Amino acid sequence: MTKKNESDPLYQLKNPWEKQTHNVWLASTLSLSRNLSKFKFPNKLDKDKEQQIITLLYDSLKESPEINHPLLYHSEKMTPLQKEFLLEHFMILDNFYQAHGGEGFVFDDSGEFLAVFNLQDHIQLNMIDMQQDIEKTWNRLARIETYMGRSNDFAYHPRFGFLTSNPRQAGTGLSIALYLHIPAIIQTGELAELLEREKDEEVEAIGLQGKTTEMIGDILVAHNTCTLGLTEEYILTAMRMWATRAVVTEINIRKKIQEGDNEQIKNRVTRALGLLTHAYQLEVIEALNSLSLVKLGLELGWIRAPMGMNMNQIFFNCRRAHLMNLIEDNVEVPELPKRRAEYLKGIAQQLTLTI
Amino acid sequence: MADRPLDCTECKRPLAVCYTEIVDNKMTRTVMCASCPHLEKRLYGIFHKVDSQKEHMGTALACGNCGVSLDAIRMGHLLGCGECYSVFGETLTDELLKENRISRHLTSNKKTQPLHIGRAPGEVTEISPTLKLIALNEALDETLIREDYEQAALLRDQIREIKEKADNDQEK
Repeated sequence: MTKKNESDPLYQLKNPWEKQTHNVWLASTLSLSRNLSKFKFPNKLDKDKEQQIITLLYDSLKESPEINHPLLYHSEKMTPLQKEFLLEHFMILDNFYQAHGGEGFVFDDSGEFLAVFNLQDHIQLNMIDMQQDIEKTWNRLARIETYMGRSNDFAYHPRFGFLTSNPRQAGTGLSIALYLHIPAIIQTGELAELLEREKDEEVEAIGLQGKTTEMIGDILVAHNTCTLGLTEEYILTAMRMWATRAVVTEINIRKKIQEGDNEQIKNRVTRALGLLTHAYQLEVIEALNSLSLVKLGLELGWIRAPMGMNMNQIFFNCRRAHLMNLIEDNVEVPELPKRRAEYLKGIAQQLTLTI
Repeated sequence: MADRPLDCTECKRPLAVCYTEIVDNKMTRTVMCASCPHLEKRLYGIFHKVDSQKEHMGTALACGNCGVSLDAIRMGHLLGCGECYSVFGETLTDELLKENRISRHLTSNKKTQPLHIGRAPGEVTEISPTLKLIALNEALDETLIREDYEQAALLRDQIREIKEKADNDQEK
């Protein structure tokens, strides 16, 4: 993987985790897909049209009052590390590795907005929200889309709505993913019951890697499966309701664990702290799973942390590109498990076990 | 993980079946999508395949603007242009209905009526923060029906907090 460039504004992206306060609902991502009516979709687009579209779209976006100091990056000039950093920062579940040439990425000062041009669709507007305010985030996203729509004619069909290259995203073109940290539900084996109770054909619960069977770091990603036959308001309301009920369940179970003095969970939490304190090498999944339990220990008052330590930020800094950016000297990928362990050891040594 | 069959490398559908075959103490494992013709052949034999081929005869339809074929769409490939929606409209509707990708809340005739009921281009619709209250109140009603009073109390706290915040904002 190519080395980072210290002065690159991409790595200076403002950290939205600073605003993060919730201990269950960690983040939400909203994504809106659009295509231009005059052109074929990106997978059938002639090479000479790609640059034309990027210029057209960037010109129609850069003056939007909703974004500050936008920067445009062309995929062919980006390193894999830059792409991975963007992917991690904006918590995008698709991947950018297929973006070898002809795609464009625009982000702004806020660190909350990313526009992707010519990947699967001509336009994918992404917003990340750390304050559980998906309605406000949607309003901002819709204003940006409306602004771009003044100078562009979006592909639209009265029957299918906004047209996307994947017909499963047509209609509103709106995809919402909510990241919920639910260690109490998962560690007590209550996840199946929650999923059964909240069963909804229009909301799917998956793990960080997109599988329904593996909840890495005890993080559940709830996302909408339907973009057609619903209004944007309905999608937002359904997602909020799903998240609200999951959050309340998690808080209740945490209370019960605390009151019931659950020894099995105590054992898992203390072992996780031991692993973070002493491990020589840590792979990302192992690190996230251990951090999740330590975070639960902090919530339950079994572990004490120094004031101002943002565990959610540490949680996401463990991922490959962010960790490589954090480490001062240049580091090769094979060295990363060792460096990750060193980074987490430094954090774990500041924590005190109180049980 | 075992490989997909060689002929399936173009298939973009999600992997759904892991097929394991043990012949003379030799085990082969193949992963494929739920509607894979290889799977059909292995499960039902060659005759079923012939029938199924007959069923799919006449599917050489392709979009005149971008060249994407109906077969490619059935394999899960992406559409190539906006015209594809007009050319393959009926097939797309069937596929989306089959995969539950059209909301069950849409009560109009899904085969003939518009499927999109959201915003139209240029339409400006700001969502009011009170939408949060609607969602929370609905969640509260459901928890009360379930007689989960502990959850209900937490939801009431959240509703009160939002209302107080809205009142404070109005005063400012």
